[in-house]
Amino acid sequence: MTDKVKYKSYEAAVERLEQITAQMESGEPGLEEAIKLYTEALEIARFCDQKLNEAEAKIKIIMEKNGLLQEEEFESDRAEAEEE
Amino acid sequence: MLEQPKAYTVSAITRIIKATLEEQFQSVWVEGEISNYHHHTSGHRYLSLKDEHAVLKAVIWRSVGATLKFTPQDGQRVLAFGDINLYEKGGQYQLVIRRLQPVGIGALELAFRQLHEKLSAEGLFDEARKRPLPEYPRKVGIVTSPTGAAIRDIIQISRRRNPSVELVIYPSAVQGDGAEDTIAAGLAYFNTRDDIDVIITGRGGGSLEDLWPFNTETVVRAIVASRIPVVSAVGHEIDITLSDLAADLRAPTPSAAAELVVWSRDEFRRRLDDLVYTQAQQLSYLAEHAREALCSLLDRPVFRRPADLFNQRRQALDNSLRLLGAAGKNRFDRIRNRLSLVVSRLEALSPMKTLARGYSVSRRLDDGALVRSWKDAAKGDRLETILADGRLVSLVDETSGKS
Repeated sequence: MTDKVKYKSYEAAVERLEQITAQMESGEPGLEEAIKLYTEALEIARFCDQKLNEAEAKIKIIMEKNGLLQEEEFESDRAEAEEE
Repeated sequence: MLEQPKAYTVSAITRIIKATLEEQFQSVWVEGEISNYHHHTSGHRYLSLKDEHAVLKAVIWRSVGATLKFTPQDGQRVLAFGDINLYEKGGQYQLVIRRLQPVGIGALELAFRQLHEKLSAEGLFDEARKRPLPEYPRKVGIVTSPTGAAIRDIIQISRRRNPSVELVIYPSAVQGDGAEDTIAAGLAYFNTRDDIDVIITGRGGGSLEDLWPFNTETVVRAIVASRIPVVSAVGHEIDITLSDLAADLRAPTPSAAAELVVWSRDEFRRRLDDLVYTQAQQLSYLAEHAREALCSLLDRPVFRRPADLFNQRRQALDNSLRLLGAAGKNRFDRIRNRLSLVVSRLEALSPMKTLARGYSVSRRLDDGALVRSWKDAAKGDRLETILADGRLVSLVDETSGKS
């Protein structure tokens, strides 16, 4: 039902949720329309929540390999180990 | 005739003077005020050091000039360190400066002021240039030392606030000669990618000398050139660098940069919850409102107790019937007679009764249209006429009527 591609950024998702809230607070939509809007809002919120729950993002470090800059996984304990 | 005195050749005496002077005045400090400063296109710098009573010519070769943090200017009081050198062909001596520092103010401080003046004249520090940071970045580019305190702090705080935000580190030097170039390269690198939402660059605390790369024109210009918003986080809260001034946002420390850039996952969830909660409340208010409207409608007797209504009618009927009974047979018969009279009148209104009284109905045979007026039929039309007991078909021979 909801076009999830629209909410590829969290900014866009929040903006839509705020829009819906404002619309509902204006009292303009009828009950049926309000239920539709609320359903959409729930879907957006659930979608964001799922995204947030996805596995922890890795920490990457840029390394040069054969003259090319590439991402490698960064072991954050390295920073601790070499701390003065 | 006088005996000709023993004479030096010019070269010989000059050589001796040169040797004496240069030996005597090696590695000396000279304090004075700069005048006649000239930065030659060759890269060498020529100047004089003077005080109230004397002038000393001086030179800064190009290789030494490149290490100068500040730009010498006429009128500056300086301490110069170097060697006296005699230039034989010109018959002149000069101080070859190896080190130069301002008097009364640190060289770095002076350099900072000078560069600040120059770059702010270009508008590089203008507030109007600063862009807002993205509210919910997904990938953060970080230009700093991979082994420093800064990256450790940034990672720690970032993980705590929101582990779903990805950090990409560009390892750069953050102090020493050439560090500014690696920092600028990191900023430029992230700008070649299209998935980096914001960049943090900085380092932990240190001396003014240590922080110096972040006060260079190279880094300031790289920050200004960045398409992606840049947060500068250099040293401690009290340290302010030119990078801080050029960046879209200055964070007092690397930890603070992480707090400012990496949005809190919990806060975000709370925000979503709040919005959805407000909507849910609004929805239940709307539903309640609709229910009330419906209730007030249903509250009308017809909806509330339909059986009552029926019972009422029935009671009324029963009453009538009882009254009828009480009125006696005579009266009942009268009513019945009246009733049959009404029924027979109603029967008289039926079309068949009308036909029985001698009237008839005609319609055109071809299309069945009822003939109500003389105009409805023309000579030659065939008409069907319906009578109480049968039908006739006739041919129209003549028509006439009023108008």
